[in-house]
Amino acid sequence: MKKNSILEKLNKDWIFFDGGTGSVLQSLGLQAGELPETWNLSHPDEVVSLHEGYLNAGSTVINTNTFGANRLKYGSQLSEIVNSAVRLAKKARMLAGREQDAYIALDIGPTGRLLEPMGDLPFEEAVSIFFELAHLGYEAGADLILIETMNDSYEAKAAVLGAKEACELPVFITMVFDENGKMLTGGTPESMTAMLEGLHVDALGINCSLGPRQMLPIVKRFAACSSTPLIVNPNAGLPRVENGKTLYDLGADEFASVMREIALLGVQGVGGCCGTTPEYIRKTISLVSPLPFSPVRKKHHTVLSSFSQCLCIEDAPVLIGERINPTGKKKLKEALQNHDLEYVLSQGLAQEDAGAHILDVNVGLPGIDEKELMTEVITRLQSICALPLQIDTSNPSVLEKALRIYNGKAMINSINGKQESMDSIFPLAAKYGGVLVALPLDENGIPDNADKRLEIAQRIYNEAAKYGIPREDIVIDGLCMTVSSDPLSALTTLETIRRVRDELSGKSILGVSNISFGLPARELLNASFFTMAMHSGLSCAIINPNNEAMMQAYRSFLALTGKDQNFQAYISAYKDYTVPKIRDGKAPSASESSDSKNKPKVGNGNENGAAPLNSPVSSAFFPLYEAIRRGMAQSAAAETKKCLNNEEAMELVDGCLVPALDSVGKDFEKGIVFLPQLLMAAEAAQAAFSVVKDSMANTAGIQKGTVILATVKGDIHDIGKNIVKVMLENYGYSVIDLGRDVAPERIVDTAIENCVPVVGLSALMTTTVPSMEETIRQLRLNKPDTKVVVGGAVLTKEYAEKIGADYYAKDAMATVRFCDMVYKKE
Amino acid sequence: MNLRQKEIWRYLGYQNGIEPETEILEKINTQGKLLQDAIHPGHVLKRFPIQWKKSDNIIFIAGYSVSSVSLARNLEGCSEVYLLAATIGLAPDRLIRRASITSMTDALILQAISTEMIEAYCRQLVVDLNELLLPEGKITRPRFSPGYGDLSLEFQKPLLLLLDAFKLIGLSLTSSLLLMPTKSVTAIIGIQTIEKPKENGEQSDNKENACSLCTLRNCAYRKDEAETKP
Repeated sequence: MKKNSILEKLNKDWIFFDGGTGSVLQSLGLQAGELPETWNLSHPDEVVSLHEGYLNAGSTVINTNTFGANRLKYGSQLSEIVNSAVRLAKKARMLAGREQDAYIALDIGPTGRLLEPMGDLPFEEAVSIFFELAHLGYEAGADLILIETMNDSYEAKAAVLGAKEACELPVFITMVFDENGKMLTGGTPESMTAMLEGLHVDALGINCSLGPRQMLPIVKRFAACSSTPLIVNPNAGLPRVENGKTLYDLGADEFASVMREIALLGVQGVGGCCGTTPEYIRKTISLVSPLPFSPVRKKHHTVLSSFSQCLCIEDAPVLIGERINPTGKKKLKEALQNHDLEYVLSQGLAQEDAGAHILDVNVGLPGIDEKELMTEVITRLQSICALPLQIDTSNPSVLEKALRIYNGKAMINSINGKQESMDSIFPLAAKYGGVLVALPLDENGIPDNADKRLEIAQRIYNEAAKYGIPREDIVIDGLCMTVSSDPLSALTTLETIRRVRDELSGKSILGVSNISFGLPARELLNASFFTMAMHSGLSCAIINPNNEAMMQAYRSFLALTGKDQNFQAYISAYKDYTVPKIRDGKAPSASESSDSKNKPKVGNGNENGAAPLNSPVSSAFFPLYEAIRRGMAQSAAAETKKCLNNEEAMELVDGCLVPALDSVGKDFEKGIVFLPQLLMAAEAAQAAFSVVKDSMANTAGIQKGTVILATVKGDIHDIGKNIVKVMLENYGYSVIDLGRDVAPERIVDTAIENCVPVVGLSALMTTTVPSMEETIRQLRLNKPDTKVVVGGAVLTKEYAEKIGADYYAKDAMATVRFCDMVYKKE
Repeated sequence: MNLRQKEIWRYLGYQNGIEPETEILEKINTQGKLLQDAIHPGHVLKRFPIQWKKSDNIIFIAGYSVSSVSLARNLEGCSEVYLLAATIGLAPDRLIRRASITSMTDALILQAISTEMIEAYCRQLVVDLNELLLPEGKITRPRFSPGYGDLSLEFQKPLLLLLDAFKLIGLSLTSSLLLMPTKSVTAIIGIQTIEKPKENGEQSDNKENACSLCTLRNCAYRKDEAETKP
């Protein structure tokens, strides 16, 4: 008789897991530092007896002894280890007479390495490690995959994808949280549930690290958000070390009685982890199995997640920052074309600071590799920004890649009612999860009335259901058309939004600023329309959060509709609000400026004090000169704007910016000024340069030349290199920043490709200096005319000479001086 | 956490106790609070007996052997050690990466403070250890990390394995054997008997700092006065 899959039982009856493999093996003689999986080969009888113990205690699922088994640790021995692990589990199941009602889970633990970009294990390599393991387990005859003890959401995603791509076995996953309900890399029960449900795992939950009592509040949080069956496998309490042995503070009876409490919270599977012997499991089963079983309920939440945040789209509208989209943005376009990712990332971070809840990411431009650029931008953005992302592309293969590497559950922009669009996008959303932006248009174009738009929306919901995509994972776009070309279009859009809410019980979205295209003073129309749309029930607004008028409309709406508790957000934003005398849409308001505290200081200085007699610059330039010297970025930008009214850009650069920066640089070299001040001055100069560049059609005049910077292979310290970069850019160099841990070949290729005469290399560890030496060797061989300047804590002048560098720079200014010398000679 | 402000200033390049300007002090304060809320300290400490093969400076710990002249010198007279793995978590790495985009000044300051934070955390752990050891009449030697002197970074591998440091505190290694999160420390801490007479005298030995054991004479952060750069 063929045995039923565990899915027949899951969510219909209690599932009981086993306990701590490691702790039982230790009691059987496993030494600290010994790899437990080797016992599958060296101590097969002990491993069988481990499993039998739990089977006799009544476990429904036993885990193979493969927690640490992966090719990073076992290489070619892996298949032997996994095969024997499954074989021993099967043998135990036979001996225990449980062949019909016990299941063997291939146990998968973390790789032990941190994924890129925080660590150095590439995401796809992690996926392939898990794929290999799951495939071996499947071939050997495991009944399901249990991924456990995951403490990083990104690795959890890699493991689920690997397992699902390798086989069709059910996939369960449990993660580690601390007492505050956080994973080591920041994930929460809510954020993890959002991502894992998007990936369609069969069960999820928590294990290890905590005892059952500490898990109670975390389990409650899971139960409140999860629509997927829950598993709870705690340790036998909290650990303490006695005479070199780890002991746990709960006995089997106490453990079982807390597990009973946990079971009553709406959990579908229970078991144990470290320290829980078969006795703990037996007692737990005897207390839990008589309890009435309740299956998990569907929650119907519209949720997105990032590595650490979960965003539930409910009552109050959420803001999607639109600034990472090259359409109509000259600077962003240039940045994308020049691969200036820092600029792209800074746009994202500025929107996060301004109050966006989600960031739209669109990098589509003719002539660029959209897939590669999208991958890079998302990878880097998601490592420094906690907001969920909206992936915005018209290319399904770019979308697939982006959804795959995204660390969470993303928003997908967009799908529409055309069959072709639905056929290509729904399978991706079904595989990776995501909330879809659905445009209610079809083969017949954009309907000019709400009736038709709702009809298409309904069709999209129906089609999505065929893929198992629930309606809460779809937000309907109200289709905001330019009001100047159709005076009734705003009303049609508002009606669509209102009826999506009232008649379809759905969520809606709008690209708000489209409405004003072609008309003057666009922010007036945008802000008013935004308020009207929110009042009509808008769920998500794609706007520019840096625009104060839009944020004013948003905060005012929340305050007026009881969605801003105690007016906290409103008051904190506008407690210092002053009524503007003359409206200037472009100037930052006081509440926006980050160094507003410093601003009046210089402002007063300008008004009250003239330039001193021995001023190194003309008196008109003095306030700017001082703003840069004192490191006040926003004042420097404002002063630059002022000066540009009367002066030529180049005049300002040569007559003020360069002298100001140089005077700080010289003071730094003399030891009067220290590195933080030098950097602050550099940042102020950068702000000023950026204003100057905006005013110039051609910026070639202020470019001195190009320099490549990289931290060498094997080294991940990049702060020194980044400081050098800021200084070089301010001295007029265009920097190709290759990042950290860069292979010699890549540095050589970049130097050749871009004909770069100077390469700067950084290394912080003695162990990575050899790869600096190797880089220099390869450069000498393939690009002999390029000069190499090196720096980093472990280097000295002598050491630099020994490894063949042209110059040892003791600090950032020394690098600038060296580059000046090289380019002067050219 | 008991942070030494002057160390933070020194990491920022203010040598010889020079005090930073008000704006910088304000930034140190702001970024310090940000870090304080974000860090996630965790550690694993385990006590092991060690065996010696003195002629070759080889030490055996829990089935692993390590050959190092400087470690042997550090552990002279010890028959037991603590192995330590400690971290303040991934948040500093993330904040520094973020600040590298928005403001390098902030990045530099975050870097300096978080370096002092992991140091402060380890200092406190060692103080606590010594309290624990006192009733036994024992005291710790200065902590000694892979990468100090001639102790190879390769020793990170057995060290993390013996402590199960990835599972317990999320401490991992890159392929070039650097610790991730970067604000982490692994160390061997010798345990010696207080009564035991020593040629050079106990006190001075325990004042030995990591710098005096290090062969990198020109390091910018070296604490030895004579070696301090102008």
